[in-house]
Amino acid sequence: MKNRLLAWLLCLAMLLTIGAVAVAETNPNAGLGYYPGTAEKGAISVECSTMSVMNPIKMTYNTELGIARHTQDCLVKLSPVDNQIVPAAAESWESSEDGLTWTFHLRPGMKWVNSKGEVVGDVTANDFVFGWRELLNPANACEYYAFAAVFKNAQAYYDYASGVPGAPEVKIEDVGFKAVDDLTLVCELENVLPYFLQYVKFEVMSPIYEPFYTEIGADNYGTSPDTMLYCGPFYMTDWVLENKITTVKNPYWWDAANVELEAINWIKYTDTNAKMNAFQGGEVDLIDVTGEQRQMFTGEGFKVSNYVGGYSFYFYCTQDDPARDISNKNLRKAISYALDREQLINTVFKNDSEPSPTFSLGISGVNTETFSEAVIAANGGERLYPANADVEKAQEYLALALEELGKTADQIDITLMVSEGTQNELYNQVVQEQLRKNLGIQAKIEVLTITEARARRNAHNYDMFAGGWGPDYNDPMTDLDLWTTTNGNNHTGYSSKKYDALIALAMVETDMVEREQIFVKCEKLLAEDMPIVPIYWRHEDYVVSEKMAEGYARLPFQSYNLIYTKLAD
Amino acid sequence: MARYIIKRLVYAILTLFVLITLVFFMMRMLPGDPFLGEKAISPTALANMNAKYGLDKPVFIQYLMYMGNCLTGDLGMSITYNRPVMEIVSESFLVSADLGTRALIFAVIAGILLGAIAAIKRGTVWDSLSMFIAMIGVSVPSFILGAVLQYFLGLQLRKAFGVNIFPIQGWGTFKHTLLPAFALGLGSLATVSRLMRTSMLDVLSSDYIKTARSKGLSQNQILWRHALRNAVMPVVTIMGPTVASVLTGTFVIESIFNIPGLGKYFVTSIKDLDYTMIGGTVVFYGALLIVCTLVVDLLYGLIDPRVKLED
Repeated sequence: MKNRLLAWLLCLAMLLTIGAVAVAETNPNAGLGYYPGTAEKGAISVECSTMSVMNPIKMTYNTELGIARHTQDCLVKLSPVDNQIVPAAAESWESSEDGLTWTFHLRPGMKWVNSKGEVVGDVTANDFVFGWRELLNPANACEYYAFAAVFKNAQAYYDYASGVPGAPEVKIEDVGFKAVDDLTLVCELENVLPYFLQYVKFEVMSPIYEPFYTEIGADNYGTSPDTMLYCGPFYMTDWVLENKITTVKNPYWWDAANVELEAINWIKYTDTNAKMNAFQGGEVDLIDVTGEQRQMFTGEGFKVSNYVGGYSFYFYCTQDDPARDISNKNLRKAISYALDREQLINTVFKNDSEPSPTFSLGISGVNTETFSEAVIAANGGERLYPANADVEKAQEYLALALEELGKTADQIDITLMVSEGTQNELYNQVVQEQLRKNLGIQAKIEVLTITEARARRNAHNYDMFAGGWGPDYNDPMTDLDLWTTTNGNNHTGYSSKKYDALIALAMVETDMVEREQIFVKCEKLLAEDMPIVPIYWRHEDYVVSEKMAEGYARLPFQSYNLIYTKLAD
Repeated sequence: MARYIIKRLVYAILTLFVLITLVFFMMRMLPGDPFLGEKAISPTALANMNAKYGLDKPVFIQYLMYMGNCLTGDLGMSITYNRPVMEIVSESFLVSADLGTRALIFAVIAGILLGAIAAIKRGTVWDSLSMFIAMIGVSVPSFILGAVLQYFLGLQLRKAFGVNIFPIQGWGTFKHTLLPAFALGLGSLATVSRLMRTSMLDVLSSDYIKTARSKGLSQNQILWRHALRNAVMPVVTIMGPTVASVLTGTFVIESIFNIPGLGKYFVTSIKDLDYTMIGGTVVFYGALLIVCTLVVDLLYGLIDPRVKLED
């Protein structure tokens, strides 16, 4: 009898868990009466940082892409529940056996609306073709054109159209995407791309309605609410530059019946205290908070939420200048072991950020939940980078390094290049202190403006520089191809034939399990050669007013997904 | 008079020319380039972006083109915002000017009154009170004043008494202007009232006031007709630069109260290395400053007939 009861309870618990997974987020403070939120009925106001450009093809910032996620519909999108690809403008799709041809079947009856909510036209396959052609148009100088460069002949066309010397002629019609009819779009890829759907979900791959775009002109499109069109769950009605954007529910969107929100106001704050006051005073429903603010909220019993955006932070180390001490591999390893990542997080960020066990973060694994777990499993359950300082090991590597360099510890010359900002500077000061304490190395700190620091970083004119990386799509490639010899983001000068060969192999491997193992090798090789010293995985803290009951999501690749937010009664 | 104005305008154009030239070459000497983001851009895409904004040409040619465009009133396209600099500047200037005008009206009227009262009632509690307010205005930075107002009048008043007359942040209604206009105006108020007090004391002890007294004019007539008009001159002098700086907004007040004004672009454009935006804000500010000083000089002539503008 007792056993049966237990079994029933277990079943019930399982059902409840499944139920809990099926909605995105649930407000942890629901009904507690701390911060009821904004007064405007049916609408929420949320914090949003950069909002300088609204033409999807010209977007580069996370928050801009976040707004586009609410106003445009790509072929597919990410589910707010489990972050997996789900249908959006395309109802269904299939790929050929060789994985090179993809056919998308668009949802019939989708409409383009303007800033007044009036229907302007139908969304057809041609709108995707046109949007992607504009993305590849050199005259538009789109920073993220590379998302459309995966199609057959696309890169060749881009080079030719950009006037690259010696590039053979390629016509735009020969680029691998075409509208077979109004609702069928056929795409041909240059190479097999297991994560192709992750590319078409990227908001720069939004469709564009040609007649309207041509009438408005490429330079004017998307510079105000009435100079662009919308096909997503919301449309933009108001935009005060660098201040506020208002988006209103689009009743013509295909899934509008499931959208409860009437409007979302996106507000940009530049002052963290002002933003906090606004939240407490009921002028905004969702804001990101600092470590100090988190402590204040927690202190009064209000629960702070946090999410992982996929950002991994590390120190770049210059490799290609033998005159620099940091080019010594054992010295870099000594530094990695000497750093107490946990203490660093507790001192500087005071939040749930994690000491990096591996470099890559936020990427799904093939048989494990995350790719990082697969790496740790392959490393005998050991993390690649310690959470706390391991002074003994650090000293071992330091001894090797000193011997190779023919120096004593106090002769080691390392400068931490820092871009301005209180937190940045504190972060580097803590590192400086840990190196002094655990290695006896007296590192210097050099503070520069962000543009100067980036210029020096790109020219490899530094010893160590704190940087970060956020993934663009859910595949280890987005993180790991960074450290190939020719990658523009490899600012370390790291050049390993072995590493390059592994990435090249992963490009063509179609067996997903095999492919993951190649990436695992890459991670291990990185830890061995250590062109970068991974430090932490960022968790971002935010608070939500009790007005937002559930259904919102903040996940890697979708820092905001508020489409299906349910409001408290 | 007309000759004077023309002469001043010619000087103004020369000043602007020098200003634009200096700013143009100085910003090009800043390290880095506007497209230097966190993520790398392919060389071809970078070349396209440089070409789009004319940055692929030699710097001197760019300078000539920029000058030519400035002459036609075209300040170029902002690199960060992808829209005309003129449009951004004019939209945000309207907001800053709206707020600034309110702050100035408050500062000038209250400042002159406080200063005059302090001088007339010299040595009394009124004098001390006026100068205490002036002291606060001068010594408390606007970011502290703004934050304090926001916290107590915006947030705590609402939490404690449910009184919702002062919005914490934002822009759009009359209510939204109250706290920022006060915070922005208090500094100028302090300057105006201190200047006014000193100058009023000077005037009150001068001979012609004694003459007026001995003629048997009433205290009010002496103060309003004779003293105030002369005492206000130094205030008018500082109004030129004050108007220009208050109207173009301040980064601090705009950040704290989340106001979509011009102030922040002076700071962010340099951080982003948005060349056209840096140029645009500086040219605009320069032009406004020149116009304001010109207006002040013309006002001298009106207030004090002894000032000869032709000299």
